[in-house]
Amino acid sequence: MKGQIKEKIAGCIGKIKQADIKIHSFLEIFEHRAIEKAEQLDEKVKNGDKQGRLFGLPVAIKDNIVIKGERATCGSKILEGFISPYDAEVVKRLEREDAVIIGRTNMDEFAFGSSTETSAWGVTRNPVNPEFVPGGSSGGSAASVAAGFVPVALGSDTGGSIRQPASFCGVCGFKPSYGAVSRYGLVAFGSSLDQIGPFAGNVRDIKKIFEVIRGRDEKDETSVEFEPVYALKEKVVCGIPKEYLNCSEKVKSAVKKTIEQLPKNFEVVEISLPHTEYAVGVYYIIAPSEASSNLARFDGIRYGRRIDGSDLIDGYFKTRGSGFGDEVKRRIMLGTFALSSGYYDAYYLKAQKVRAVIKRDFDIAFKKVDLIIGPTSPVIAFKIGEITDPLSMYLQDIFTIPANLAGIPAISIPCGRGEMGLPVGFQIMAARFNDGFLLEAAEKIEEAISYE
Amino acid sequence: MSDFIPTIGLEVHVQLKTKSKMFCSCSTDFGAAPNTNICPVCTGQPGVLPAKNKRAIELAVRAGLVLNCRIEKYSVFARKNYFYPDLPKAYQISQYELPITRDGFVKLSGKKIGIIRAHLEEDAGKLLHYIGSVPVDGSLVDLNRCGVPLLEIVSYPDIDSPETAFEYLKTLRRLLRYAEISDCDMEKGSLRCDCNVSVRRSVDEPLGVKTEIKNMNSFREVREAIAYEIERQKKVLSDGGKIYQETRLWNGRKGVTVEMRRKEEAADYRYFPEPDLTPIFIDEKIIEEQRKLIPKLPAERKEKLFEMGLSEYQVDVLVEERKLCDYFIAASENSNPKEVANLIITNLLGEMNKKRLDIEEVKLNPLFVGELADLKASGKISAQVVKRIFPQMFEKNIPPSQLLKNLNIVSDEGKLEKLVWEGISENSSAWEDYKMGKEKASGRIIGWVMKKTRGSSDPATVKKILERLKDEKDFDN
Amino acid sequence: MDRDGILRIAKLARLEIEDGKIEKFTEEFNKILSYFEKLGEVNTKDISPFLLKNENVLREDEVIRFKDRDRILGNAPDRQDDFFKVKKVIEE
Repeated sequence: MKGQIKEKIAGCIGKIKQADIKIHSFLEIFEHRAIEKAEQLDEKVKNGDKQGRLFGLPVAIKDNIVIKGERATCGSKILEGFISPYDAEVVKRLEREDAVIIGRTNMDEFAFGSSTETSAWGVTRNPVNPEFVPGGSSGGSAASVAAGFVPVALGSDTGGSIRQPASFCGVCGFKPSYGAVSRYGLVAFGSSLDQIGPFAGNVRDIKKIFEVIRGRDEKDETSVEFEPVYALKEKVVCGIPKEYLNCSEKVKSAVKKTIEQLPKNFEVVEISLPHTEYAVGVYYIIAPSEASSNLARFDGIRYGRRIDGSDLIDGYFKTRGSGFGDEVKRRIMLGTFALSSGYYDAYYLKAQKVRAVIKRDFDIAFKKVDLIIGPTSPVIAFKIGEITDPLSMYLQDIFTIPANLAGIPAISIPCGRGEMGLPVGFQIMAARFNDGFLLEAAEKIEEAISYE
Repeated sequence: MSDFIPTIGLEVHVQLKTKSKMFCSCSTDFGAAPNTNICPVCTGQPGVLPAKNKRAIELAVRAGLVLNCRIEKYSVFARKNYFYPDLPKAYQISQYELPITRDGFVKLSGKKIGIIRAHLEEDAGKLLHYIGSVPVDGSLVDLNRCGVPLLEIVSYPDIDSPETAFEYLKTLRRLLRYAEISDCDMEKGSLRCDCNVSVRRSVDEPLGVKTEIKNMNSFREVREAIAYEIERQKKVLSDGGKIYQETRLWNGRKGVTVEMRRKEEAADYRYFPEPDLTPIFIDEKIIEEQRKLIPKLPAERKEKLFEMGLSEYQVDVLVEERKLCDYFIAASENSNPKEVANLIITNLLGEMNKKRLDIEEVKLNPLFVGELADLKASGKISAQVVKRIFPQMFEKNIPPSQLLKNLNIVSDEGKLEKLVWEGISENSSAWEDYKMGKEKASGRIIGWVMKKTRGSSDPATVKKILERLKDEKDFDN
Repeated sequence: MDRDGILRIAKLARLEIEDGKIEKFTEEFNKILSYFEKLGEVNTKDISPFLLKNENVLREDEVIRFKDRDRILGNAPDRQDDFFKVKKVIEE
């Protein structure tokens, strides 16, 4: 007789196999692994063993978080054939609590993108309307939850890569404070910006996953132990930055309606984050600089694709030239340039200083307000192939990037619909390590608002 | 050839004495089978992060103290980016703008050599082109060494001769070994040295173009390579040629430096602060802890040993290794220091050499060596007896008094003299011959005494008594 | 940034760029770089660069053996025995 968990997991996998053809949110289903885990869990039930906090919960994992014995490609040809020799810390924590990892999800190549169109393995489609992008870079994870394949998924967020696709697909996506979750096993993009976080249909599930994955990990020096306080104050002051209202009409009206529906004890004031307009510039210097160094290890010597050249050096050029897509090359070159001798001070160092100024904006703001609210993205999902100019694509991230630069927690929850029923996301940010407060507030807002 | 003034600066890399690597928990053991001391971190797998080794930081602080450097309260790691098959991440984690220590000096006999900085970094892996003596149709990468903690010690160009460079290296090694910061063993790669060499015609001229020489396998080779390079540069300049800024490899077999690459286009390492690591904060507490762990250093010990009446040679030998010096100090605590020094240098080092042991592995109680020294100094036993019993003392850690008793060594000259008289009367003809100058004839008397004492008397002592008696006799006549 | 500049950067980053794409890359690159010029408007005179975590984080010096080294070696595109193999590194 089939065990209950096995039945549930087999059902989940069956649904993905049948329906994901249209969406392409998964790159691979770990059928064997998932069924085996399910059987173990059924055994636990039979024996009356202690059950983990995520017992039998199917979870999808972004293709840049490694799992021992499984493939991980970061949406890139250069990692073709790579099988991870170790587990990411978050994977260990999920499995320790009896979650079932279902498969790996599609993403923009090395998380460089806001649409999941740059994946070497084909685009992912928005489950709400397959002609539209799901956002990115964690588009596969967002779509897998939005399509109802899995209740939760993990993504990574360097400049909005969880929140923006959550907003485009109409689900919740949370980027924790920098340091809240171990990055060990997350293939690095921008090391000082990257953070792993969950997608889910509701804030309660987000909390559940966050509680399991957060906390200090000795293998990640930048990780921090702190106890989130899941409590609200009697009066919650929300600041809406005037710089965040420069967005499409539909988005603006959805956000306005949401603000009107906020719980009674939420007070809204207008604030200013005066250096917002520099965030994209700062980000597109720092992230590619770090990435140019992080992606240098893909040389075809120890793993992944290798194209031999006429000699060793030529082999590097051929391997990297053919293994990376254009957007990856563009960003590696931007970063290489920003760090190169003679330009370092003007670009990288300057960007780090402006980053400090942007963080100071937030420090000042959080002296007056508890939360900062606004739209997640200036626009709703766009059509596949609609944006081709890199800079226009970069400017999509204007509202999500600042949280990464300042290292603060931020969540996107669905708050309405725009043209063609495409979702609008509402972003809520809090001061660093006020993750508990933020999630508590997000849950209250989620309860309070309603939209057609 | 007109006179040139050489200017030399050394960059010395030493491996810090840690159990695990700089940023991961792999072993630093030397000589492991290829690619066995590796893990996801030191092989640069996607997604890994470094975590710094506390001990390496502490040893760097200790080195800073020994090298009279300023210890920085705040320092950071940086990435040095370049592609090479022995560098898995394609960047080396090092320190750039903010090293952990700087501005120190090493005192030599005649002068001070300034230290610009000593900073932490990780080693790269190893490339092999041969398996045994069979060439490989490519290059092989072994990452066992990759990530081993190094301290790079950069001197000011204060060195003006190959001899001073040699002395600097010896002094540096001695200091680092004393403080147990590094083994400084060039053969095992725990010390490497690159030299920057330039020459100019007078001190009023700006420094000449420098070359960097690499690939020396011993201090002696460093001295030879610098000497060669100075001569080469002098000759080139005297012939109206030009020195290029380049890296040159020392070829020990041919005794020459060979051009490796010219730095026409300076390498662009794109250094930036390592975002995966938090800064290093050093407070007074850490500094004081490390200061306490530094033993008396060679310079101070030398002085003390000279005061004890040791010769320059003895002092040099004993001070070279801290543990040996500690042993000497323990052995000579209540005993004749000169005799102890002799015993250690001749007998102890001899036995260690035979058995291929380090001083740490020696079981012999230093107090026994002291005891033996006193027996010898007071003339109770001869050098021959020492030679005979030392190996046993060394092997079994037995006090000399007990050994002498066990062997029933007749060390009392009075007792022995009586026996010698007996021997003379039993072998009167031999005695006569001996007195006549037939040296060989003494053998019969010595042999008789040996037999009588069942080999437990010292033939040399017997011979000495015999000689004395002969002289006394002559005097009587 | 001109064509040569782009090629110099590509060389530093060990990237082969198809001939046909160099023009486009150069154009996009310059557009992005001119966008960056905006940062010059921000006065950062007495600002220290950004830092995320300001405390000593250290690991004890203990050896932990990694048991899955075969999984590491198993990924190598080219191998000889337990070595990773590459084309001959020219003895420079």
